[in-house]
Amino acid sequence: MTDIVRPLSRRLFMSLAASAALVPGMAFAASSAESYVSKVGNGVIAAARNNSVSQFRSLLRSNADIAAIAIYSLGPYRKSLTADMKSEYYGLVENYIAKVFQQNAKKLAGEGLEVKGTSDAGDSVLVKSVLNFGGGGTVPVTWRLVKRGGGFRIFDVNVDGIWLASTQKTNFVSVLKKNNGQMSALLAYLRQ
Amino acid sequence: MVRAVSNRKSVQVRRMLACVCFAALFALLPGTASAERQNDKAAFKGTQLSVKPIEERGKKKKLAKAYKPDPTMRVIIEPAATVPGVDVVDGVQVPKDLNESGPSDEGDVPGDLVAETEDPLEGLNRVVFGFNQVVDHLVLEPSARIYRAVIPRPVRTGVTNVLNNLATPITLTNDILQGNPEAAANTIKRFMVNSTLGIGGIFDHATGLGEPLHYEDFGQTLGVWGVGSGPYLVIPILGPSNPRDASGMVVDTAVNPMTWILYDAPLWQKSIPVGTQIVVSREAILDDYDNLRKNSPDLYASVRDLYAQKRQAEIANEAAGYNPGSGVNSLPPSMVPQTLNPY
Repeated sequence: MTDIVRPLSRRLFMSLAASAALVPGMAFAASSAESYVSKVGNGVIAAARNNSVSQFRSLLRSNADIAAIAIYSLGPYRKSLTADMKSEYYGLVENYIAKVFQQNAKKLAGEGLEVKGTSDAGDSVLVKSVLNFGGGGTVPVTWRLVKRGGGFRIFDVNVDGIWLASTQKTNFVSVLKKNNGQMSALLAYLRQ
Repeated sequence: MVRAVSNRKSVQVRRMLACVCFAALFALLPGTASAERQNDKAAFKGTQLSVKPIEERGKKKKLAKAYKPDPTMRVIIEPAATVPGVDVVDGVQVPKDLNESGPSDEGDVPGDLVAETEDPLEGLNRVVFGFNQVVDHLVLEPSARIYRAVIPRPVRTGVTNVLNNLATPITLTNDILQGNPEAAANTIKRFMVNSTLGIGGIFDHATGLGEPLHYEDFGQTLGVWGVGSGPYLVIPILGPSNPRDASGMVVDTAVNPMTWILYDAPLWQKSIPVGTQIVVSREAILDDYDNLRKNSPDLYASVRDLYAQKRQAEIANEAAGYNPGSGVNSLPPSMVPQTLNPY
């Protein structure tokens, strides 16, 4: 009996130690992404209810990876962005996104956000959630997060099947295509 | 000999016990979340998260260069000259941490989740799109505005409900073809409740009874079966499509009982359900489409992108009306399924 118990105890101890090291780490990463989304989502709902561009801008500044979104939105014209333009371009992109959120405030002014689960998309983390409206209506919202500096930043948001950064890229690339890839034309468009 | 067999057995018993312990351990550890939450996670389609502990992530050199907010650097919003593109609005506090250098390399910018839409017929499509815009300006949009102005909201809701109820055979057929019995049961229950208590579908009592609306078509079914969309097409009057969705529309027309009920009817009578559907659908997106027209530098490209994304989400049941956990979910009261996409 003791012959069976001793090695088993060692194995059990080792498995416990391995599980203690690995599983809580994974669970922590998933739950931290979910709690982060929950916090930001409630901020978005509050900003949408107030229909406030400044609140959206504040949320973006604190939580979105504006630089990555701005570069992604250039599509095949990334090389057109020179170092001296970056500062102005990032600011204008932040302003543009805040206005897009404000224009869609009615669709985001729900009663609460319920996080439904997390999955790994390789270069990012997807957190699925549901925006609850009164009367039992819901809209699915998926948040695409990137890992930055030991935490998360929002890279894209999918509201009811539409990715906002992807849509923004379509618009920016259209402007650049019409103007032979001139960044000055895109900056002029964003200043409007 | 007996001793050797006994030793082998004891080794096997130890291995089995160790396996059981492992299984029990992994089953118990995530037990802090509620049962409902676990069900949602279990039903969640996609790769489960596999992320390194936070301490390990912080050690990466690449991440150290990445955009890093500093919560201590919060200041009242800067004048536009200092922080480009930012105006002083409401005096709301905005943290001054906008990274001006950007991601350190291309690897810091995530890739596309949305596949680029093939559009080899772009030249022809743009011509048809232009024609559709003229028809929209002259006929569809004014009709939708008149419909909104003249018909009170409760009546419009009733018309929408009737159209949704009439679309039941299409949704039910596709629920079954997609192998989704839960959604099919929901569709049948909705039809029975709304056709009786809801007086021919005018009132949607089924949603209140926990049977919310969802919508399926044969284009989605083909997508579920793994059929690719094919190249982007703009169809006269009907708008954006592709070979998969266009052929789906033909099948749905054949499945629709109204097609056969009105088979021998004069053209004007046949046009009533389709015409009503087009006007109702156009009215539902009046505001969104106004915004799109106003803000899109290239309306054609925007519509193409939105159509592809929306269909992808509908096929994956990730648009409104679905919950990956339960198969169906509720649509917001203001939303109307786009049986004919007026874009």
